[in-house]
Amino acid sequence: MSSGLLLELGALLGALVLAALFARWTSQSPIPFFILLGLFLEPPEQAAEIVDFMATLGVSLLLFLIGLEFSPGSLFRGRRRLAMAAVLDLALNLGLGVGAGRALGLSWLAALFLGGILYVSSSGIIARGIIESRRSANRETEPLLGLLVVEDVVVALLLAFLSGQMMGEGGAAAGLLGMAKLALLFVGLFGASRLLRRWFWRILGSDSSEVVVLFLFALIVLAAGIALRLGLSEAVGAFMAGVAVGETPYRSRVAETLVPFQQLFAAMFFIGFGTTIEPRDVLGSLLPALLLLAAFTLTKVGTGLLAGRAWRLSARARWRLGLSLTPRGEFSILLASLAAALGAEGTRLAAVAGAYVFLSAVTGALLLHHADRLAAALVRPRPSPG
Amino acid sequence: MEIRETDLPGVGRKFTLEIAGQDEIVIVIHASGRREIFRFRREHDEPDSVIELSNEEAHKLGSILAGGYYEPVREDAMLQIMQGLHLRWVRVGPDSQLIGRTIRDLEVRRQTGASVIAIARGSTHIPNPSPDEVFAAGDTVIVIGREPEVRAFEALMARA
Repeated sequence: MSSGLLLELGALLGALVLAALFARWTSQSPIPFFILLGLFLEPPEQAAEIVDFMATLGVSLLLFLIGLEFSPGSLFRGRRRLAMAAVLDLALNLGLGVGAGRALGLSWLAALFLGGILYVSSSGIIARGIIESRRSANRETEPLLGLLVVEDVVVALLLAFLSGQMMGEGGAAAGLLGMAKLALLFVGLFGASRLLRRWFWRILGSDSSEVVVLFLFALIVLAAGIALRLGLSEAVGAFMAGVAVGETPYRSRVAETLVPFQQLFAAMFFIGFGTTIEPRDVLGSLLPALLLLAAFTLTKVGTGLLAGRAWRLSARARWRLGLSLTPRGEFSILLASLAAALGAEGTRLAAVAGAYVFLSAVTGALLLHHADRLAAALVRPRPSPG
Repeated sequence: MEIRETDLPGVGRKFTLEIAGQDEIVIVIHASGRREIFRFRREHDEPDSVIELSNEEAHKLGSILAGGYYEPVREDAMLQIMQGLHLRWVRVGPDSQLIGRTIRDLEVRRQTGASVIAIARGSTHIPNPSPDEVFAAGDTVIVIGREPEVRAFEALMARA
């Protein structure tokens, strides 16, 4: 490895530190700043290859950790309210998003990508905002986090469907084939984790943190590789591996171990995404992005207002729920980076998505952080009797 | 009292307990180990107070609440539980002259004023022993009394 390459990567990491510091200082999510950095940086070829590899790991870790949180048992057990809210969320955001894409003259495939980009709220930004504004015990927080888990899972499935579409011949058959492969992968991983359960648990429970880290990376990278070989996206493989590990009692230990790696590699993913889009295209997409932002902030707030009824939340809590759902982030970028391969249409879509995530991460974070005050201003307390 | 336990994906775990007066206490244990304790008034959906604790602080607070908080004691500990009142652990050595004798024939209460409240023998304990309980080698005798009374008991042991 040449000194030049190391210096380039070091400078890139230094720039990421500054961006993260700036985000911290302005209490914003670092995601838009990482993308912005990528927008104006053009890493030389060799460095770009390394960034690319780390970005792949970042995406895999992101999806693995989502899979970890998702336990099929707890999600489907007696959650009729959540199912109703999730359907509403799908209709109002994914449905209308696809509609908006068609109205803008996109192909069905590109419109589906746009729908996904507009649909998936950023669980990363939102969970952190909830902790920071001390709302983790509020009544609306359980439905909020439940919805985010459902959204992430829907996007993981959408990703499998879309990557099947793009790598295969296209058409519904290829999409279904993609889903079938996904099921195969799921059954394979799940079966393996059940069969080798004792062995699996012993490794994850090992007192050597080295063993655990190496095992987890081996698992994630292998699952990603198998998924890619099957013609699915690597992210989907990592997601499934996460679901399998989530079944063990070591969930929180695994999450603790991987979060620092995820932070490093995901930063590389966002900066890498930034380098694939042109600043000029992003500027050109600002107007459509702003219009979409206005419309799809409203649909998310509406989702919260309506869905909150299922939990019999007060009007204020329902406003807080809706306002907290508005930031979009990591998964919209993930979908956009995949959509970029769609040719001219894809490049445009990626630029719009970049601008959209940038705007919504900022406005969404504002709405999220001030949801308390906004809800209090919007809903005056009923005068107490007497 | 009912405790409801729920998962907060991406945040941690939440425990809700209803307390008298129908207020609710909600404890959130974050993945980072940080704890938050919220109090919700009846029918309110915003907490009206919150306490934030580190992992270590939470353990301390928990042991105080559970009544298990104490400072570690010296080995032949003397614990002053009230002003002037002393508890003392006294070990019966292998060649102590106490061995084979009873509380009654030693006239412990009359001679010293201290009371034997328990005898620890191996892994068994004899709380509030009868006056006819026979002391054995290796017993730990727990006496209670004022300082001079406890001293007198120790002196009796030496004399006996």
